[in-house]
Amino acid sequence: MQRVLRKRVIRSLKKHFVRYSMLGLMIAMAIFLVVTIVGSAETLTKGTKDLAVDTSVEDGEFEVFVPLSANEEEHIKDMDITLNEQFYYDYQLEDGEDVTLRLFKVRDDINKLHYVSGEEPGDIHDVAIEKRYAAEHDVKVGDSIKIAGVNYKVTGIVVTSDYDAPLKSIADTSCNSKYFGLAFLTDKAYEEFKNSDKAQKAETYLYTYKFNKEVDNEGLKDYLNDIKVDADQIDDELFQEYWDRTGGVEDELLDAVSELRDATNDVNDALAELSDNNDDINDGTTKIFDSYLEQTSDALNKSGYNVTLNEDNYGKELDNIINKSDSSIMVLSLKNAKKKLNGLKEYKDGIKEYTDGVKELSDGADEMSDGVNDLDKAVNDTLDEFDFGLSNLTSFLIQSDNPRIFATKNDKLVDIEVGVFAGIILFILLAYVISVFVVHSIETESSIIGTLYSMGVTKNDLLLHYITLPVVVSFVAGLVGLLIASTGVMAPMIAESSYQYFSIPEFDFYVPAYLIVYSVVVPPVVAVIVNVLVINNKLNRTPLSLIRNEVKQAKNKNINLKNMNFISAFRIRQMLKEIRSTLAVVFGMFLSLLIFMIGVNCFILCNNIAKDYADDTKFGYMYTLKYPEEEPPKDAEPAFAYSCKKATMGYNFDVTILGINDDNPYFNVDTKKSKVDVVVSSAFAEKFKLKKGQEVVVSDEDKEVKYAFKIRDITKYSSGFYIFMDIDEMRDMMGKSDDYYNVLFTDEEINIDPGRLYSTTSRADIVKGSEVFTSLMMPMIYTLSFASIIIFILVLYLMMKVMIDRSSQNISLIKVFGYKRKEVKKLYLDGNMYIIALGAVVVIPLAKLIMNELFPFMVSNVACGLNIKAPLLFFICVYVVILGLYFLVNAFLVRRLDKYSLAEILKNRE
Amino acid sequence: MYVEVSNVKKSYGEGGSHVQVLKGVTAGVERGEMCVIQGTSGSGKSTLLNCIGGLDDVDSGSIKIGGEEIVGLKKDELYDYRRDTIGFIFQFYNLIPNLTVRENIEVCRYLTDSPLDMDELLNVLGLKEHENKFPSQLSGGQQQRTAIARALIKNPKLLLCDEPTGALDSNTSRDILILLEKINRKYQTTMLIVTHNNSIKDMVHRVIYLKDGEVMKTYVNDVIVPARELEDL
Repeated sequence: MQRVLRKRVIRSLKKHFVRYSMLGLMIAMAIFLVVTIVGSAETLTKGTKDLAVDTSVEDGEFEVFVPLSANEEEHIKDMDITLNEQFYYDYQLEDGEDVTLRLFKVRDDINKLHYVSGEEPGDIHDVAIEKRYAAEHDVKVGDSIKIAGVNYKVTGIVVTSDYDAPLKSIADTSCNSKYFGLAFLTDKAYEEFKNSDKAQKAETYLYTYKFNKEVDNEGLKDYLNDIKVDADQIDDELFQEYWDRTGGVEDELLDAVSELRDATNDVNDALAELSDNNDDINDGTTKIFDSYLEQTSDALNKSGYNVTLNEDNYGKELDNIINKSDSSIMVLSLKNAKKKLNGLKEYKDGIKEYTDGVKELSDGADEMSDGVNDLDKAVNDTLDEFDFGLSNLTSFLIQSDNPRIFATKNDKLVDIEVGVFAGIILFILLAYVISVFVVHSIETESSIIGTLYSMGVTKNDLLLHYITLPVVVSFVAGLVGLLIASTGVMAPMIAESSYQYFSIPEFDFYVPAYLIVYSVVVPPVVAVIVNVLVINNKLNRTPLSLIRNEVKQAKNKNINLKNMNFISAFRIRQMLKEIRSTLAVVFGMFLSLLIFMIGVNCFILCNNIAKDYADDTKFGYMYTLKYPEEEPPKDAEPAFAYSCKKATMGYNFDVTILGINDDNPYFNVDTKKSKVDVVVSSAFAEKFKLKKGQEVVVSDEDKEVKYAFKIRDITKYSSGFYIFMDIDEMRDMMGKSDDYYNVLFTDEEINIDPGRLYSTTSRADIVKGSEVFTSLMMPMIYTLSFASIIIFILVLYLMMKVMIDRSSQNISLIKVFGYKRKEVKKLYLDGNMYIIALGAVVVIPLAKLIMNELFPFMVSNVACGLNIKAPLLFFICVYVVILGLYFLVNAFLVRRLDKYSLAEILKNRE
Repeated sequence: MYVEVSNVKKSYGEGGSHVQVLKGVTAGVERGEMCVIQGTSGSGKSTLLNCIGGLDDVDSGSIKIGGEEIVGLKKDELYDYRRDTIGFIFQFYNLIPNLTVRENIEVCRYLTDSPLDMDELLNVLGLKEHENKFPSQLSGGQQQRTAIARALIKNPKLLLCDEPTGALDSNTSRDILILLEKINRKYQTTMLIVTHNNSIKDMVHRVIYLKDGEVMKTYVNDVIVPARELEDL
């Protein structure tokens, strides 16, 4: 039976060719859209990944004050690490344009060069130039380029994976190849430059490394941190000046503790000596006292008094004898003896008190000595713990934290997320459209189905029959969409902005296997699922119900429209009759708008970022300092920046704790004298969904320390994730001196020795960075917007066509009554405007609202706020465009009204 | 009796809209008989036909076809019953518009392991010359003949016809009735024909007359008038 019914499938396709072509076109477009957007992103992702493998991209890099010794290099190699010197000079060209060329030697191990054109420098004065710089300066192979007075011949245009994004500094917000590029010299030329005294800045000792087996960044970092360097070895005056002010504090502290310990030891020794004589003194005085007691006892015994005097009884015994004696001489002698003994006893007790005091002092001195020893140990422990020793390591950057590496790949994550998400919405829309078609088909053929049922044809037979066409159309359309997209016809447009920003070679368009499966499997599977669900439900009706084509009466059809004119009442009745198709139109509009809103939100985000960055950045320049001067320059606002991390949605973002003075003119922040209560930037709050009063925790992963704050306020600042606090409180919290700062904000450019700087960020850089963001996203925004408009037109056309097709009998009937085309249009088509007009009022804000909730997940890897608020004018424009598209579709459908012949009503029954 | 209907009751709706359509119908038809179910509009004749065909269920009573009870059969069993036993012909032909005559018939041919010979059937029904035409290219009578052929191709034991001539003119109606007569003779197909048309009762073996959901009378024709001789069709 299926064989026979299959013939019908082909005829149905012919009969409803427009319908199925529209459906096919929609599916093909959806697939084309998804494959193009996601495929382009995957092409760049895979391309940069493959390139990274081919060129042996580093696992990380680090800079040191002085080059590693042979032993140190050997030790690192013993850790099963391949280490490469990639020293460089930043050379500012003498063309007055502030153009910096970073001069490297040609690499042959890690971060090897990929030649986009030309070949490796061979002769001493050959040079390879980085692609983006070459493009911006129109440098080609064979051209000559002057560096430090020497003419170099350009033999190759190159890219290298460690400069995927050719950022001058890793702190830079965007690349600007007009002002920065890379040049790769031969070893001899590099040495020649080095020895020429033409270098304007010290050489940077950069090492790159790759783990041969097990990745152990921490182990390597610990080892490098432990390599101490004598400050005197460092040939950088600015460093020396800075070190004298800051790093020397350790020695002063140690010296002071040492002096204290020495003095305490002296005191202790003296007191110990004194204490050692205590017993002799005590013994002497006791002997004198005892000897006098003995002499007195002997004298009394000789006088006939049998008493033995001791320290305790001499007073009492002498008083008894004095009282009993008649001899005044005796009494006088005894009184003198008693007085003498009392004096000796007082002397003896005084000596005892003195020696006890000396003893206590000596004990105290011991304790003091112990205390000083404790202090000494604590100071040493602290110094050990905080490692105030000057480490040779100045920076350590693992691959995943390096914004230059895999920048293209990371940038394209948004495209992949958005593309896949748009695909999902498209397939829901697709499923919905198919289901409307199927329902329409089954309702149209209800009596036939019922008849076949009554003959014993099973539901499965019919199911198989009815799903065949949509499944085949879905499959073929998906395949066509995939094949067209696979030619990469639109990929260059999508990828163009990336090629013009990142330093990457042009890759052949590549469609990953999952996209192929996605394209050829998902559409038919969606069609099968929808059809099975819908048909199953429809075919659950009894054969009789199908034969009679019984339709459930809507409850709301009996509304009272007495006071309405005929045309309006008719349109409302028609709308109620076709309520399901009416809702289908609105739902189709909603889904199309969801896709549109993805593009819109990208656009609004970019636009708002550009606008907010410009509005919120009040400073002209921000200087991040390596070696700050003791006093900040006049007209510069000092601040203290400390970089931490915070993760959300699987990505770890930099968050800067910025200590500022209360009167800092560049940030609208009222800081409080608190280490806990802080103000956060609006971008930070938006990205991490933070609210006032909430606690926020950021972590310093290097030191494994977490900082918890309470959000007192949120200030409008879009350019970065910031936690603002009082600079004094922050200095105290971070253990810095009262005048410490490491950032300067100014209105105008100031003269700071470049050697003191990590980076300079101008307001213009920030604004340009935001514009770069926009230009990178624009192709996708255009594609999504264009596709959603086309899809909306198709959905609107198909749904409205279904609506009037369902009314074909009635249209024929009123034609029989004598209605003219214009009047028929008024009754059956123009009424749809109410649906569109009313539906749009609801679904435009609804689609925006829903997409606002989903959008953060799509841009989860992007380090920016999420200001996706759209102005009212935007909504009005979208509304007007929707009405415009409706009128366009309406104009197409008018012709269809002519196709319903008068015979229709005569031929068929209803 | 091949078809045995015993005390079948059937109602629709609830509460105020409750209608008792069949009020305990009892009737029977012998194997190979042509039987007309007659009655006024709303008498329950189509409902009775649908219940016999397993298209509608009954509230109570029994329907036996060839001794097999069909009341209470499960959905799948009803499919099998309809597939193996029943052929349906409706007033509106319900042909698949984008299949040719032959293909429309073939749809049901695959429902049985022992279908009738297609070409013979096309010849018997006078459709041979139209076999490659689509329904829209056929007259009403030709379409109904196609519907009959579709019902017959699987060689049903019981052919249920609901107003088979209701949408046809007099001459075409006669042709269709002649055809049914011919089929009955040729294939010994038991036929139940629901009709308004009073003349048809004379060409069949048995007549069941329904009124208000009850069998008013049932009788067997002593004299059967050939369809070609029927008047006032």
